[in-house]
Amino acid sequence: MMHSLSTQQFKKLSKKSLELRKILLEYTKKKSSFIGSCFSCLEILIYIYYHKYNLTNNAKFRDRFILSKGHAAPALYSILFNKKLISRNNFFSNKTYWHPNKDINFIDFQTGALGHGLPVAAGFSTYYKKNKKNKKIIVIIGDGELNEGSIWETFFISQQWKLKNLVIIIDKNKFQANDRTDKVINLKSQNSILKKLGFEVLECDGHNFNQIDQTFNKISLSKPTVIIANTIRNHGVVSINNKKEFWYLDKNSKDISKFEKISL
Amino acid sequence: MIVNEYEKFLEKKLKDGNSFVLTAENLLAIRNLKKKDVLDVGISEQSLIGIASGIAKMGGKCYVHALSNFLLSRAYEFLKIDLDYNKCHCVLVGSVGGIQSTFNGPTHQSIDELSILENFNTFEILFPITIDEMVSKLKSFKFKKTLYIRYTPETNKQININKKKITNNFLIGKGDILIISYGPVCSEIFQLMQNNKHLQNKFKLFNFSYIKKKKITHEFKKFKKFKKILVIEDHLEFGSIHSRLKSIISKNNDKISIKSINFGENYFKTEEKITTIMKNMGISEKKLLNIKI
Repeated sequence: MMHSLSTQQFKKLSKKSLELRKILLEYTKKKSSFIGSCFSCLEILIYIYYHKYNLTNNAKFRDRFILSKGHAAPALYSILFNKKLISRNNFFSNKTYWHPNKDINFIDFQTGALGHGLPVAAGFSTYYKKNKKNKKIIVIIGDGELNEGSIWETFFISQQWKLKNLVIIIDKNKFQANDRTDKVINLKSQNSILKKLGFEVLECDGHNFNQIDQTFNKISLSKPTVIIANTIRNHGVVSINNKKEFWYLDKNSKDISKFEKISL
Repeated sequence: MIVNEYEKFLEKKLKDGNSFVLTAENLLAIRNLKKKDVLDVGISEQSLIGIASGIAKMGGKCYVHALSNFLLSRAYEFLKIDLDYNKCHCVLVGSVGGIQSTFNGPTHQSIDELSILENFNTFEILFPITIDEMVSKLKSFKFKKTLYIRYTPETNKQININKKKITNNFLIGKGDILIISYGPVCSEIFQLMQNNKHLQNKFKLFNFSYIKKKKITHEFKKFKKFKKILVIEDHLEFGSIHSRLKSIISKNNDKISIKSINFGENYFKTEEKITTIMKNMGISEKKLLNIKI
């Protein structure tokens, strides 16, 4: 596959993968977290925050991002902290609880209850469309979040309203809370369903920056896009990859030592 | 062709480029707007609220329409998180609320709006008796809170209520018994009183259409001079105006007798016209004249 990122860009993003995992672990040791979900979407977040879009300026009509799978908020906080947009004190304070806090700069919307972020993103998109702004509205939903009826409602609406600037990323880590998604609700043919609904459906390895970049460069200008990012829960900690027990990590857990062995 | 004042109001608003009319396939209040001006989500009330909150967050002004039961009950969590907690302020217009839903049966009836809306910190409530009253409020509405309106259809415009009187809330009568009501029930009572001098001598009618959390206590000061109050409404007793006033009276040890006629308690059974229901519940000239409080 052709690489589109320069070696320097690739190295910069890869360095962030390791650096931010360490920050996330530091956060978890103090505050606990849903670390498995944070680690699965981290490369996507790094890519959109450090490379593809400018999500941290004060322009009204900038690109916008909503983390609909809100329990991965510490991953988002760690980026804002790394970019020095959250102070160290705030990063470890009660303000940075496990779901995105709207009172923190550049958190575009308070999410947490699943199934809310996508409809809100469709609202942003509608507003931009009416104002003829080409900036993107990016939203990450979890594959477990596909259980929510409101997500499917908004899939239907987005294609009906032709929200071309909407980019929906499904963090497909194949787990939800306590079990594998295919054991809870087995959604076998989501790609073809979404294609039939009228979306541009793209797919990539959600931890491979070159693949992520190539996929984002293919985003449609003529219809709403869904990117299925194939990811791994707890990516970077090989010993516990894809284990259903490691959804949440308590700060007092003896398992925390397993997370010290990050390898990418 | 635009036929009612609310549609005229929206048509004008849409020209400013920052207003959005949304609906969950409910056109009762907006049937004559151009189709291209209405964003229809189908019957997806949860997404309706989520999308409206996204637009509002960006600074857009949303007028959101649905059947009131689905707007409030089905989309409750979205109202709580997306509108109330995130402080994304919209105008919500719920149709066939309260007594207006007689023929739909229990699944479509909405008689718990006040008790639901009481849970939100950033919501105000308007149960207007006419479209004029609704539009008058909307003209001054600044989107600093969310406004829920129990939509009263055009037919109620037929009653001839002076606009000034609507603002003053005391609509008609000079008696020493205060009737408190709102919405179509209030307009029915107004019409009864308008045609009967004896009723006007016995009662004074207060239109309690604009309800803010703290306003009930504030408004109560106006009621204190009345020693007898009759509240007539179409809402479950829980959360109703009657239950709240009763609690204020009891808390203050005021010597005021208060009585309630409430359609909300048993009208799931009904399949009749509003006027018939009202008669059955004791809202007729004869029964009101003989009522003991």
